[in-house]
Amino acid sequence: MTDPVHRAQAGDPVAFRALYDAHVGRVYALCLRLSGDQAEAEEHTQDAFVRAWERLGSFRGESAFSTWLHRLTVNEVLASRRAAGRRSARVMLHEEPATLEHPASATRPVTGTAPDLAAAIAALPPGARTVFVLHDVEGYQHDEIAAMHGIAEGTSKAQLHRARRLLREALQR
Amino acid sequence: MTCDDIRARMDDYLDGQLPPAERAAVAAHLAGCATCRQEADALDGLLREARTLPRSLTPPRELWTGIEQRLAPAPAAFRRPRGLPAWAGLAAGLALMLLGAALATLWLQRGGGSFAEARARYTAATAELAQQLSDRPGTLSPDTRAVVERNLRIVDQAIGEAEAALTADQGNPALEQMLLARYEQRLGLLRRAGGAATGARES
Repeated sequence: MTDPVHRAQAGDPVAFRALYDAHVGRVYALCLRLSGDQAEAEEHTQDAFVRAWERLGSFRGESAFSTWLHRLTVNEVLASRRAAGRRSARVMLHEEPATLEHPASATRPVTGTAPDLAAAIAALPPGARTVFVLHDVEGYQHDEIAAMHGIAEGTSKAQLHRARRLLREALQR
Repeated sequence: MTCDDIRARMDDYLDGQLPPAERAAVAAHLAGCATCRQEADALDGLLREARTLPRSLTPPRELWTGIEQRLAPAPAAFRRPRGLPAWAGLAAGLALMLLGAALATLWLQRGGGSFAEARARYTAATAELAQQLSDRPGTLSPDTRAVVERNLRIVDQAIGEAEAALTADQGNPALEQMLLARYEQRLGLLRRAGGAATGARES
């Protein structure tokens, strides 16, 4: 049995490390785009691989391992966000109004030029960012996004429309 | 089709989701309307660029050590033991689901009525604060007012989604909790906006 997936399923940590090496870049890129934050992306990446190890037994080889891991990562990030939302009882807002009234204490980034696409995606509101990344970057369909995200398909379409509009505004196109 | 009709269909057109007849109508309009064509080209350019983003990025720091420390001895421990029939796993899953439903019912019985009351309280409080803010429109700077309004739209959208989900899954305690959290956030936002207005008036 030489396939690292099968060896990892049998409990071989060395084989799992090989899977990590092969897929970490893809998983991290996905986590970074979904979260828009480097520290969160690192945490999500670690969580996704731990969860993959725990769930390797459920991988039946019906799709490529990379596809299975990709889906698991999306679910992990979205579940984590839902849990964080319940904990903090907050959704992400654009800016705090009080900081604008007191600009000396504000921590807004200084930007002299239009941001590139990656930065503009990171600056999107979380719901719009998630749908844009899943649909326009990763190629998921609205019905799949709706199922994974726990939203209506129409909401997914509305979020995508909003994300595209905001990105065009941010990129001045 | 008017230009507004075209804009309403632009996403579906570029995503290849329009029926053939509508697709042809949009294409015909774009061929003769420079403004809409420019819109379509700009959006198409954005989507092309999105598809060319690197699929893989190297994490800025080493992550494996933190993963390795969290790995249980063997994932096989989580799998169905050999020799145990597949239905055993299904039965175990069903039992867990029933247990979850029973716990949810108990939770609801214990807190019966509290959700509706809390919802009414939040609705009344937010309406009162919103009224107070709209009664003194000059006390917030235009920038702050814009931020407040943008944030309110975000929260309101989240509230709308949570309410829709709750309509589809009535009595779901997690959704009720989520919705109350969104109301609380809306209330907090209005309070902070009120505070900013007071601060602006005093300075």
